[in-house]
Amino acid sequence: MHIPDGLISIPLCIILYIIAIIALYFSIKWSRENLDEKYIPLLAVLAAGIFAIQSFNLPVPFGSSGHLLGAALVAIVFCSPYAAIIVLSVVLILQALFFGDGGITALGANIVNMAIVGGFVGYYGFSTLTDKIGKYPSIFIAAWAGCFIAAIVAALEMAISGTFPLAEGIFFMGGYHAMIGFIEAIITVVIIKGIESIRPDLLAYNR
Amino acid sequence: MENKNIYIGIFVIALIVCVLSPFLASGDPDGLEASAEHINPESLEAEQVINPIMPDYTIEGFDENPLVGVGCLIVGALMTVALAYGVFKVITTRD
Repeated sequence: MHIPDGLISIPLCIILYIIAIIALYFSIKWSRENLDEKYIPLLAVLAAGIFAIQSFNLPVPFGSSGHLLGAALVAIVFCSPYAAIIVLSVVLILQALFFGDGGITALGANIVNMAIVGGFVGYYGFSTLTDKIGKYPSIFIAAWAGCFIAAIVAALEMAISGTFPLAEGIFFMGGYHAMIGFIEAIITVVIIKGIESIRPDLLAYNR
Repeated sequence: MENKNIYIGIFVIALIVCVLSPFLASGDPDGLEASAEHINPESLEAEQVINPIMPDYTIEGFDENPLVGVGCLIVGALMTVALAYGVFKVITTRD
């Protein structure tokens, strides 16, 4: 879902950069108040894990492929969208600068879609649903929705930029990412189940 | 399991993914590219603003060699762990 240069108009790129910077400001503020040094190594290796797994595209039907975003994963592990926003932003900045994965002008857009939308939908989807339908079903749905809604927001940005007509953009972006969201959902559940079985105390909702 | 082993474990899994990815990951266009190919293929031709040193997780001229891709991904994973560590270290250090 990394948007390259040329798909988002420059005025919108600037607006999305500003939104990303504001979100990062609040994320840093939250982290300063809620995280202490003992979480640094976990956040650092999770960031590396997300960088690695984002390179691993899995095939989906109709000739496309996709990978885990990881925002819902980090947001659920830390019970906050803010940790996810910083972790994903670190990954997205390195991808844009060194690997051409996502354009430099579209970096704000990519942070908004994958880090902010992915993190907020992932966390609030989980926290809203978990008491009603149980932990793992809610993690599954929240991770799926984080990917799907991020794609819809990307389609809206491309419609505003005049790159994709709105209906077609939503149809294709939504359709492909409804399938890619299953990859996100399955891997997120597997990783959280893994952490739960080895070290449940690392999951913020168990503390 | 001790904290240190957990962190090493997660990082080793990340490195294993880096080694496997150039061999096993799907080369099909991702959801965004596939959408653009249907709706507006010219939009993907746009000139990119910067020339990254490892475009598409490989090095120009060596893009047929998956081992170069493995190397680029491992470099990327090391850069990510270092930057994330540094960023959170700065954030959580109280003066």
